[in-house]
Amino acid sequence: MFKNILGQDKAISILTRAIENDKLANSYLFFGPDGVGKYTTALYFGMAINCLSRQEKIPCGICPSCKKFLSFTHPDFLFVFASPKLDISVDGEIKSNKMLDEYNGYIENKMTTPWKEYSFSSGKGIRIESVRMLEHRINLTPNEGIFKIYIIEDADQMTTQASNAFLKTLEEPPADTIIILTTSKPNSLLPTIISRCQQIPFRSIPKHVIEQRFAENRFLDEVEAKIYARIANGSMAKALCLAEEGRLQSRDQTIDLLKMVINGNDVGFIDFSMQFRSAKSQSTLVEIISHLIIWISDISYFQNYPQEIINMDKTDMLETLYRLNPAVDEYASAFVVFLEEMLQRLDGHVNQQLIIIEIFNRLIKIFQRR
Amino acid sequence: MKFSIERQDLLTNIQHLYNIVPSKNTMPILTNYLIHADEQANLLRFTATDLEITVIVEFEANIIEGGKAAVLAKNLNEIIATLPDSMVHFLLEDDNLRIVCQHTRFSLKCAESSQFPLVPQKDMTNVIKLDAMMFKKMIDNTHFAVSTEVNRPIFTGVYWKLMPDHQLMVATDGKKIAEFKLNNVINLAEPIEQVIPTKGLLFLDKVFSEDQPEIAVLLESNRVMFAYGNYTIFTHIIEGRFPDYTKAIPTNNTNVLKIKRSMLKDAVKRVSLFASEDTFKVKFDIKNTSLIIYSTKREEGDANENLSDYNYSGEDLTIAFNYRYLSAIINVLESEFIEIRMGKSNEPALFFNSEMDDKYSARFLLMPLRIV
Repeated sequence: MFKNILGQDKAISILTRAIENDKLANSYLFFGPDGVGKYTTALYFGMAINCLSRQEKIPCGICPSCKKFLSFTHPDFLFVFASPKLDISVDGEIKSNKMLDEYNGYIENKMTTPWKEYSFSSGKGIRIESVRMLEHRINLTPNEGIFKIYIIEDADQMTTQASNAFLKTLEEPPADTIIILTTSKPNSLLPTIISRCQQIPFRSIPKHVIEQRFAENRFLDEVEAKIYARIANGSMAKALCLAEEGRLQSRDQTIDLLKMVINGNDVGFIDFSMQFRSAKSQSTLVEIISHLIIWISDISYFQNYPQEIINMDKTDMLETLYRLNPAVDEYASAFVVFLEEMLQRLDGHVNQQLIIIEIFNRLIKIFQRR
Repeated sequence: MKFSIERQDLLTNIQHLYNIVPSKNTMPILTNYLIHADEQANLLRFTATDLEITVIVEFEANIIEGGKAAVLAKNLNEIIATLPDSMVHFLLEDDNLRIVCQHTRFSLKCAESSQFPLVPQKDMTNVIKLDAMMFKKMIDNTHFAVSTEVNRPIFTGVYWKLMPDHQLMVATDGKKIAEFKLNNVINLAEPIEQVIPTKGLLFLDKVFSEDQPEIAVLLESNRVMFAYGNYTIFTHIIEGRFPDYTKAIPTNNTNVLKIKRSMLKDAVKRVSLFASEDTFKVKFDIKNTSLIIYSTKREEGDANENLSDYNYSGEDLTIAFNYRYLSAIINVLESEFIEIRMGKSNEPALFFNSEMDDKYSARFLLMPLRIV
């Protein structure tokens, strides 16, 4: 089943070799960008260790042990994740129906569509209650598995209290235990936690791997696949989410914006910029900026490397933009640096309308030479 | 799966099982009973587990067709509780368990029974057989002293050691120690020691009855099996080494108080009414000529009792105890007079039964509180 995970061959080969040579560490830290398969690899790794199949390809995914892992009912598997306060007991009992529903909702989402984000009703974190439950379970002998498997997703979300309590467990875990931490922000973890884990790096997924995945599994045209792969920025989860939404609204908006630049339509732009007054539009704006970066690179490929162009269906617009200012070399890199700076600013509390106005002015300056 | 059974039989047999079933758990499969109808043995098996302990109860029923099903324990219990006393018929059809009793019909949705945690095999070949009532006594004498703090897991269980000529059960939380030693000959190849979570022991404690004088035990490396009557209980064990608690037990406590157990018990109960709610502190002023127990609750009042019927040899001593721990110890002591051996006011005190035969012995240690 490891072959279902794309673009992480190195991490997977380290882990499978550890199983083959019977050299398992007590704790692992899987770190790398979001949405590249850290959690799925951790799950399959735990399954492989406990897999009952005698075949060479483990995990088999069909033996009783694997099935229980996949349905989250294996008694020796505990999955800890960031959540709102659950009031969970050490035995895993949640009194409030609402919180139990949210807990099960998260697990359900992990089982069926792990690439999707699950939104909780309130702020999330890994709290001391979850660590206490883990401590309780970890000190009992395994039920039916060979090793007890504990996956702590987004370990950087642990509260200070929780990390300190967890550190104690991590110092001397029982021998038949494997703890896997995953994080996209290893720098936010306590150095003492990091130093006690074997570290397994996960890398961004190359664009061509994502494109290939779309080519195999989904009915998408080539342009869309290329654009998704590009915008996803190495995250399979994000690419799949975009593909599932099935449309690229932000791409259409980017095209609208560029048309306004071509026509010098200042009045139309004022209307357009109004939608960015609300904070909710931030994600759209981020996507528009990512699209603009793709467009700029397309323009620079236009003359000499037309085969690299992503927006292949819009070559007429690319040509118009190229003709407006053929000196691509002079502005392209500076403009991309400017866009990236805008992206960074969006992380802080800024007026988004001002950002889009500034981008528009820059575009007008370049293409209308005003 | 198809079977029938008298409602009353079913009710009595599964009445204790429901206490094991977790409610509203993060692992929904655990909220089910696993029902197994064994056609060949003509036995019905109900299993419940909370991952820490697994309890199986088996009993006779009229089994027409064997099979397995997992149903919500809560639903089944409520159904059985409300049915009239009569024959109840069960029939598994696809994913539904049909229950028919007189004119009432229920259809209960089943869970996927293969998702239920694996139930260990009952293996009676190498079991050790023990006197059930003495085993209950061992549990009663020790379980109250375990720690409830999960961050020191080894103290949340009861340490049990079996030697060829005696057994030892010990529990401690760092503030108190309870130790029970039973002198009896066990057929044993080599000594065994294990730390067992209290949950399994307390379940046993509840189901013990005079009619069943013997309990069978099988200690394995990763779990312990108890077979008692029609119950089979598997409990996990706590991994790790139990610390050498004997180092904490003083040997030269020279201040010895002998007192009637019931008298001390009642006195502590009365005086504790005015013990502080933070510290639960009750103080003792002990001299050769007088013994005073007292407590003070700031802003509310105080209590004071003067005891006369006692025997004390040693220096004058003022010592304070947490009355909750103290009462727990006095409660499990059983002889008419008890003996308390103390050192200084900040040193651990030891509690004994005063006159006992040599069949078994119990001793308890309690750390005093600071006097000020």
